[in-house]
Amino acid sequence: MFALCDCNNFYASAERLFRPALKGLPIVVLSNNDGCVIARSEEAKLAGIRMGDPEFLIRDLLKKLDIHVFSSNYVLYGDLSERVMSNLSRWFPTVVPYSIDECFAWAGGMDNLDNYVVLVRQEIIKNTGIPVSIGIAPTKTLAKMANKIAKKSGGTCVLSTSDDITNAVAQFPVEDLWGVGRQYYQKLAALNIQTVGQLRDLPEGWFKQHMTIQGQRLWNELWGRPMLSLGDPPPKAKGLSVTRSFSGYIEQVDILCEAVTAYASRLAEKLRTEKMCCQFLEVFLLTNKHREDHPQHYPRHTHRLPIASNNTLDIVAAATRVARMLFQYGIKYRKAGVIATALIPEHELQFHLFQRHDPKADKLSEILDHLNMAYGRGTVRIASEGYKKQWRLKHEHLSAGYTTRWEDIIKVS
Amino acid sequence: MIRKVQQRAQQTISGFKSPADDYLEGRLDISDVLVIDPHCTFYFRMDGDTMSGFQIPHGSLLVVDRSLRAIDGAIVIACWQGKLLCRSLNFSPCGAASLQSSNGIDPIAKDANLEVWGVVIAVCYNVMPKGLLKGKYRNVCAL
Repeated sequence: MFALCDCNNFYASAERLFRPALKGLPIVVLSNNDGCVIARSEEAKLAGIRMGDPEFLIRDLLKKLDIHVFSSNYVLYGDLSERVMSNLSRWFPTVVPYSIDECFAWAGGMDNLDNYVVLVRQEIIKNTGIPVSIGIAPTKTLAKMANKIAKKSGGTCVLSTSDDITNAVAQFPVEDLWGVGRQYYQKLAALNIQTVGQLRDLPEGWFKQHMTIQGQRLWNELWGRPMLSLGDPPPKAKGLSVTRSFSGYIEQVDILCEAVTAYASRLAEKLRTEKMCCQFLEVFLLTNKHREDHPQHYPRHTHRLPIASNNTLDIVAAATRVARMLFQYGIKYRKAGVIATALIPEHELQFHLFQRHDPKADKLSEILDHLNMAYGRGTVRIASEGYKKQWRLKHEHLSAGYTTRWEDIIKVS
Repeated sequence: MIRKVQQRAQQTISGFKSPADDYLEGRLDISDVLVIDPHCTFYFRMDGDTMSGFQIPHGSLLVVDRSLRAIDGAIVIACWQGKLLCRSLNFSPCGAASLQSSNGIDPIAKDANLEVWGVVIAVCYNVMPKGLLKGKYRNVCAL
């Protein structure tokens, strides 16, 4: 049996936990750089705000409907997510987080799951303050479905017998099923298949023919035969990237290089946590495609590093060199990205015949990581990142680090 | 900033090996006795003197645990009319809950909107006279 615990409207719930005055009021959370809506409270959904709505288009509407707007506060969400999953792991010994607000758990060999899961849900909500729903079923696909049913019926749903499952699939709309994308949905709609029950009744051969191996797995999972294991690790990244928009436009090469330095240092840090080195470094720049009156320019270039590397100095030097080469005067850049590709594990590094590898830079990066871990991210950094950081992300509606910074803890009277 | 890395003297001994080497234990850590359940613990700061009669002076750091069920006499973080308050929770013999502050001026009667956010399990504050609040000692239980 698999359990799936999912936080309800997670980002909105997290903001509300520390602002109880917002209980029952509509909330939206914006993406990085305050671009578009990425999370909504139930009330905001009812008010007609859609996922992905760009903030600048709905600004007046948000004001008119008195909707509270937050920038995404990933420091807060990350901490609360960890609390939810740690609490869950006390009740289900093996948990595997699936995303920031969803977590699979192994629920096999337990009696009386129906009552148990109600208790677990109450405890998690009490201990963390984050409302969750839990679905349990014999396969991951069905657990995902049970979770969606739970959201609409008291917060828990256990599908343990084949009758439970048959009843559930008969009513569950096929477009809400995990693993059915828009493409398949259209195919199924053409066949007049609306419920998961109807889908499940198709012969296995149909899945093989129309939905490849994934479809065959899906079919088995719907019949209660697990094809996906709990800990299926996500495929190891083939590439890593740091891509961000600027708060405004960048028209000067030096400022662009500051931003690229910052992105490249972050990328090098990511590579080191993954214990990977990259052989190629791609840098790209973008202008704002929505502004047809601006000259458009979106150059990219891939640079081969002489020796695969993950130290900050090498990565920054290469990335800024490429950025300088790509930059053109008179263009307003909106976004830049640094992408590391052709990753190889640190310990499989091959050295260059004619180029000496300088271990100093690796050591420096190691010290950098130690210091930044102990004293907080960004304590020691490359000076070419600059100090003003005018390009830095916009987050005008950012809430505080209530659980991660002493200076931000809430005052009570 | 709170120092997270403890400076320790180099332990490479050039002369005799320390006889204590085989008996080293981790040094006491105050959070062992203040934070019982880290996944359910949150921190708040007392603002004002409403709870000074309960030995919670202005500026105290409150250790709050959400996993406990509040009972009569518990100091709680309560959510009332959209505000977070630190108060003593009291139940009358008939079971009606009320919030009490030390000066007793504003006992908040139970109403439908009263909600317990968490239970205060410990209170920390700085007891040094002003003359000692210098340098890194400014950080004792401070923002």
